[in-house]
Amino acid sequence: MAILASMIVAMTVTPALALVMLSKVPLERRVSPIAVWLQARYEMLLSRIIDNPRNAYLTVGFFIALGGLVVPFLGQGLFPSFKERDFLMHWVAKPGTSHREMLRISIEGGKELLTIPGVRNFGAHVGQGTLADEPVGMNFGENWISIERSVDYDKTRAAVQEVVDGYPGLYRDVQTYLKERTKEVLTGTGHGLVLRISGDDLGILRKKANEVKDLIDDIDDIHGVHVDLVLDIPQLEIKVDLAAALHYGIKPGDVRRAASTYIASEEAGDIWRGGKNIEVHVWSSPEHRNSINSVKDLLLDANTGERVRLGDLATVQMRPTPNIILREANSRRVDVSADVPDSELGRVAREIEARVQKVEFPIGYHAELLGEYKERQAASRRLQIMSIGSLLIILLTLQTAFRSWRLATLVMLTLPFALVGGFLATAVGDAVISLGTLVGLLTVVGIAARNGILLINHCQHLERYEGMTFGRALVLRGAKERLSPILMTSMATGMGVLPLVVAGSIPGNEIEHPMAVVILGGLVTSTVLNLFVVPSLYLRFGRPEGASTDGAQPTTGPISATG
Amino acid sequence: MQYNSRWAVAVVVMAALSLVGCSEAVVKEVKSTPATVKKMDGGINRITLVESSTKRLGIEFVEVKSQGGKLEAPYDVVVYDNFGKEWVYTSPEPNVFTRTPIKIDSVVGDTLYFSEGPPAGTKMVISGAAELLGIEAGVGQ
Repeated sequence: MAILASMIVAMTVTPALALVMLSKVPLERRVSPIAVWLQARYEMLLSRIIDNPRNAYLTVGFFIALGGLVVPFLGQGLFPSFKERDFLMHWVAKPGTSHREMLRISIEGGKELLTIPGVRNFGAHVGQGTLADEPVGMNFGENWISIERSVDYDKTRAAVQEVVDGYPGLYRDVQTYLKERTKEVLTGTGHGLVLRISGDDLGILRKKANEVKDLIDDIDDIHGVHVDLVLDIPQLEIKVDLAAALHYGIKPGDVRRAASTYIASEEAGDIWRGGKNIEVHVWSSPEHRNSINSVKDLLLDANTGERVRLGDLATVQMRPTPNIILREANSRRVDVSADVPDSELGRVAREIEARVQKVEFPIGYHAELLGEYKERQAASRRLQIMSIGSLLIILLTLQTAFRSWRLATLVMLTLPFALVGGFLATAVGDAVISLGTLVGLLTVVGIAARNGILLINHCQHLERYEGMTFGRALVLRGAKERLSPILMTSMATGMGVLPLVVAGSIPGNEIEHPMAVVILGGLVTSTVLNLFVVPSLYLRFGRPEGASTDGAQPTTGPISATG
Repeated sequence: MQYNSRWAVAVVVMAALSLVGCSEAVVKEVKSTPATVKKMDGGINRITLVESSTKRLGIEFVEVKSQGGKLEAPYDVVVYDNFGKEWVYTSPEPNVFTRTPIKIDSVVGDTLYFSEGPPAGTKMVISGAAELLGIEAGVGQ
């Protein structure tokens, strides 16, 4: 949009302004001394290169090879890692852990986190609130901290991670808020890679999940591999002994209702007080239900008037029960989740898929890889299609500008060299190809094409309208005259992105910085390419059809003074 | 080829090779876990903690007292397994923990009376037992 707008402005507003503001200004033909000096040097260098272009071609070839070598080593990620200052730590104990214990261990963790220099506050939430959106048990906690702007980000984050790692027996991790929320949208959990195993039987699901976990635990750069906390917890089971109940004349339903009231309370009514509705429950006192023995000692009335112990009427025992049953799309499921640094996302996901292929799943069970990786594949597919589309448009634009397919293809084939500069600059910088990098690469391609058009178009202009014959002199003069505009436009773009590059990868610049680095690198190589290699290529391949060698008159255009 | 172009080629080739070499020297970070679990004879797990983790979990001990033939301890030392069996954590060595079975006779208020279990004077874990149970269950590992 900005380019479109600036094009319209350049074609309408700038000429109008020039007419208005410069009409009275005397036209002095003064050339800048720097330009003169540069043009002289450039002409010397270019004439040497034109006469023996093989070295130039070889240099270009080697740099393209270098770029090709570098690309596989660059990591590929989707979202840049935002350097957020708010951290969230999952703090999940074994299901069945009490509220009192969760408070204790959260406060312990909080006290230690607050001693890290740079951490300025700490908060935590445990369990599930009355109107909470996430159904979790009392064992689930999240700790929140923020860090100061002034401290070293990576060092502080490493210190936080070290503290958090030191609390075994809890499921714990350190995430930033944005990242966790984005991941949750993509996978339904807060993790980058999720292998979802769906099926019917919880036991088999858990077994397969643990099998997969052991299989992928040792992949390079993967960390935090864990299976969903689907564990068995002890649950009190009261099974009525029908014969005993009959003996005392107590119905099984009575036993059940009485036991339920004793242990879980029963609502007896409501009281309206102070604008709030307060429920009234009937319940046994805590000391009569705080252990399995006390539950067995609960008394019920028999129809004979005597009191009978619950333990004599029913078997009261602890049985293991699943603490949670997770479902997705009409099927039970258990997830194996893991986190990966962004740059390794693609490689680790492919490795996981390869290893999971070897696992045997019984009929009715299957595994599926979700997460950031799938999103990235979809996004890069879209980008690939768009890139091909835009390259086609660039080709057509070049053809229109030069009115020659040969020249258009020539310039298109020089574009990879411009990209190489972008890749090399990324390799020196973050070494990750992310969203910003891809945007920058597309921009660089456009800039390189523009520089090519500037040069070749002028050579064609000299040939058609000033009557120079196609040859070495033409190319030298065309290149020399276009030196200033090419350098100025490249420098203007470069100066524009320079502040972004210099500022570095500070929080807030995570997308712009890689883009600026790529644009700057690409500008350097594409300007060098256009000034030194394209003239020789044009001389060699750009001879227009039907034109004869030096000395013959052009068939169109004014008759030149040289005759 | 001319002299200076040979140099250019050499420089570029060296740069390419060194770049390839650099990328492969990745330093592998070895992460040490704060807790290790070893299975011993009889199916009991032996948990070994790093000193700093023992402090972080706030592990505290209480001694078994002997009162008139019966052993007593605070009820908080008991952890239940999935079948309702009662256990307590003891520490045979510093930073090492194992589970021992205990048979409760009665619980009065906050005090537990038992006859079968660790002998009088044994130190039992009263704070941090839930996390030890989590380590054994593989939570967070």
